[in-house]
Parts: sequence; C-alpha cells; structure tokens
Amino acid sequence: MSAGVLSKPDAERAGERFEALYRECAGELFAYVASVLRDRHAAEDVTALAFERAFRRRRLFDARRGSERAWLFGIARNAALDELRRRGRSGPLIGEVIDTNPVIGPDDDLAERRALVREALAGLDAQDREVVLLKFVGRLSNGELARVLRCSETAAGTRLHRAIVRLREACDVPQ
Amino acid sequence: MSRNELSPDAIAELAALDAIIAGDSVGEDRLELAALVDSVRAAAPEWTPQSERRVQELLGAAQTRRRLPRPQLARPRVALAGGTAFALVLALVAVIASGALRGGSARLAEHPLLPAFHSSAPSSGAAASPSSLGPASGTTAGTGSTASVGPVSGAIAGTGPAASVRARAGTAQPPNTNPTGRIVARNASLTLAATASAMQSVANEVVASTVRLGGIVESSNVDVHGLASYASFNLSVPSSRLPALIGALSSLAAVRSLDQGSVDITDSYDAAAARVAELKAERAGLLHALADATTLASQQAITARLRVLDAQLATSTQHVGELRSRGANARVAVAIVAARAAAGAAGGGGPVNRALNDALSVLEVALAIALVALAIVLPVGLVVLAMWWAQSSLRQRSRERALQAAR
Repeated sequence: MSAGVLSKPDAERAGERFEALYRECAGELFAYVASVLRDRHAAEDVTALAFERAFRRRRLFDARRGSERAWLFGIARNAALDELRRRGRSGPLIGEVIDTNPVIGPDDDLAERRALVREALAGLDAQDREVVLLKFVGRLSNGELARVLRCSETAAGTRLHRAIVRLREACDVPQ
Repeated sequence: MSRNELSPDAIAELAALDAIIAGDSVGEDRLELAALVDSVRAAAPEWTPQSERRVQELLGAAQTRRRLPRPQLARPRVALAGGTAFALVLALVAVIASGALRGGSARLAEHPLLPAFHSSAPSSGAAASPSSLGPASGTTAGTGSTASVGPVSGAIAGTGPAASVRARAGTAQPPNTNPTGRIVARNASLTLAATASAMQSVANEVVASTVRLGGIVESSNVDVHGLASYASFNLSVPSSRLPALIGALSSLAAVRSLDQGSVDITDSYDAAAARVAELKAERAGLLHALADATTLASQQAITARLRVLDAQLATSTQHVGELRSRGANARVAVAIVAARAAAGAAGGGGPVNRALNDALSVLEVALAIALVALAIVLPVGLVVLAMWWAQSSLRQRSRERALQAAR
C-alpha cells in the first residue's frame, strides 16, 4: 500500500487513487461492517457512507499514522458504531440474516469446518468478533488495529490473542 | 511493537498470523491458524454484485447531491471562512482597543500630578501649585513680581465714566484693554508630553521662550526620574504675546492639553481706581485743613486722620497695581509629563527620529491589539477545544457501549 495517495493535491489523481482504494477494500470493508451491524442493507449504507467520508476528509489522512486501509476501516468503524448507537439495538446474528447461503468448500470437511467457524464467530461477543474481523478480513497490522480501536498496540495484541483463543474454544479446536 | 503482556507463544502466534495475512508461508505447526483465517474469511458476509451496485448507487447519489465537495473549492472556502472570522475578530479587537486607548488618554488627563491644568479656567489666576509636586531636583528660574514685565500694550479708549474715573485717580493707563476699553485678564494651562531624556531640554526651552517673549518664570519645578519625570512652570507674559508663547511652547513637545480662559476685570479696576481718587482728594483736603489749623489739638487730629488715610491709599494703590498687572500680563501654567509615545515630538532628533518613534508607536499599538486579541482568542479557543474533546470522548464512549450491547 503506497502511503499518502489520498493526500495528493491533484484532483484527478486523487479520484483515481480513491477508486483504486475502493476496488481494493470495498468487499472487505463491507464484510467487516456487515459483521458488526448484522444487517446487509445497513452495511451497504454504512460502507457507502464510509467511502464518502473518506473522500471528503482525504486531506486529513496522515500516512505517518498508518495505511489508507486502516484509516478507512477506522472511519467505517465509527460509522458502523454510530449506526448501532442510532438504532439502539443489535442486529441479527451473523449468518442468520445477512448470509444464509451454505458455506462452500472444496470438500465436505472444509465446508463443515467453515460452517463451524461461522457459527463460532457468531457466538463471540461483538468486541471479540470485531477484532478478529479487523485482523483476519481487514488485514490490519497490530499498530493499525490499535489506532482503529483507540487503544495501545499492546492492548490490541492482547485483545486479538484472547479473541482467537475464544474463537478456537468456540470451534472446539485444540490449541 | 511491544507485546510484553503476552506470553512468548502468544507473541509467536501473532507473528505467524501477520505472516499468514501477508500471504507468506508458515510452518506446519501454524497450519491450523492458517485454516482458521481462511475459514473466518470464508464465513464473512459476502460482497455480492447486488451490494456493490447499491453502494455505488449511494456514492453516485452523494456525488450528485454534491455531498462530495469538489477539491478545488475546498481551500478557497476554508480560506474565505477563516478570513471572515479573522476580520470579525480584528474588528472586535480594534473597537475594544480604541476604547482602551481612549481610556488610557483619559487616565493621563487625570494624572494626580496634573491637578489644575486640565480644567477650563474661566477665573483668573494661575492654578498650579508647584509646591505640591514633590521633591524638586531641577532649576528654579527665578521669581519676581510682575513689575518686571516688559512693555505693556493696549490703549485706553478714553471714553465713558470709567475713563473719567481713571483720569481723576491719576492712575497709569490701564493695560490690556480691548477695542471697547475693557480690561481683560488672561490665563492658560498647557500640558506637554516629552521623553524623559528630553525633559530637561524641553524645560530649558520653556524658560528661554518665555524670556524671549518678554515674560518671566514665576516658579518652576523639574524632576527627572525616568518615566516618572515631571516638570511644571508658572509663567507670566505680556497678554498681547500670549498666543505667541503658546505657539512657541506647543512646538517644543506633543501637546496633551491646552486650556485658555479670560476674565473681564474692568469693573474691579474702575472701582479700585475710583477709591484711590477719592482717597487722594480727601488727603488733599486734609492737607489744606492742616495748613489752616490754629490749635494743637486740631492739628493732631488732622495728622492722625492723614496717617490712616495714607495707609488706605497705599493699600488701594497696590490693589490697582495688581489689577493692572493682571490685565497686562497673562498667567500660563505649563506641565511637562514623560511619555514614550511623545518621543517624536519631544524635540529630540530630526524627521528620521520622529519617523522611527512613530513607527515604534504603531508597533506598540499593534502589539497591544495583538495582546488583546490573544486575550480573547486564547480562552475562547481553549474552551472550544475542551468542549470538542469532551464531546469527542463522550461520543466514542457511547460508540463502545453500543458495540458492547450488540450481539
């Protein structure tokens, strides 16, 4: 990820870079937001809102504080939590409403395992699920994870490890 | 990265996780973790073409509504808003500062060392009291009576009862009469501002100008102590030369205040002159009676009366002389105060020095305005910053609570 692409003064180049960022991150960002909100329709709204905000605030982006991907996920997180706050309720469990399609794998064992992980993920509390998704799907470094979660890097690493442990426990996978 | 709170195994696992996410190969002992990552990604909500289409529609709609500002408009808009805010603050500060400066000037006018120089003086007489000005360390340029005043100008109209009384009294031509034959006593008070370093030279010029115009310095007090420097003078100058003296003194330093007054003393003068005439007539009659007296007792009585009459005549004559002097000579009270802002006009240096002093004054005013602006902007800015921080902190806590409540 090149640093500071959104801070380029040239408007056209900024637009091109923004499109590149959209192509690179949109799917993963949607997956993260949808996992938090558990509502596909709301997740689409929030994903669009996050990109819109990112474009409007692109001059505030500071490459020294992390990648654009992490910055975008931070914006999306705030938007998603604002949506949660606004609704004052939690969405349906992951997989129950937003993804009811069967998990497809190369073989039955893999498909079964993926279904198990989906169920375990849905059983985690929202904070553990969020940190797992930010790391696994969002592909953020621990430093970027810390900035998105507004905590220290050590605390982010600890939270991440504990969430992985709980996910394993939920999957009943030996560590 | 600090992972000191984690066990070495946990740290190693997180490192392996970073490698898996980056697409690097890992050892067999981390294959389970890689499978977990793969499963989580596969379990994540799918980014379907329908979702993508809807997100793009929403973004397009936002762009149509111009919620996405055009980049070339952003900076001028911010600059315009900033400039407007700055101009408003500047205008506010200028209004406040001008009020403060006017207040400062008023405070100067109410300086305790200037008790009598700033009120209009319709009545006669010099008002300043040099003895009240603290320890004098300067010069006293001589005191004297008004008898030493130079040539007296003015002519008597020579008409009317007043003129006849003056003629009968045998007094000298009354001084400072205006074209209607009235006698007017004039006075003025002048406050100058000079730098402390120029204080002595300005004081010397005050004396020199007074003498040059035929006046005298009745009293003076010059005290040079930095910004507390102060000088005062009580001057007497022929009334006809009062305007010239004020002009000369005004050119020595910056004029902070100038008050002039006049009183018509014609009636007082005529009454005193008539009294002298009466006493002289009575005295002449007594002298005749004394010459005709035949008895010792009558001679002694007339002599006693003459002594009383002589004393009264002397007093009345002196009074007439004082009134004549008041009409002939104007009293001028001059005060010189130390003021940095008046440096340019304080007689020090040429045009370049005055320009430099003016520039310094402008800088001082600018600095004062900047300080006032800072005094306004800083607390307001801190309050706004604190409010912003508090609001941001509360919002973030609220978000975290919303996440905790979610399942």
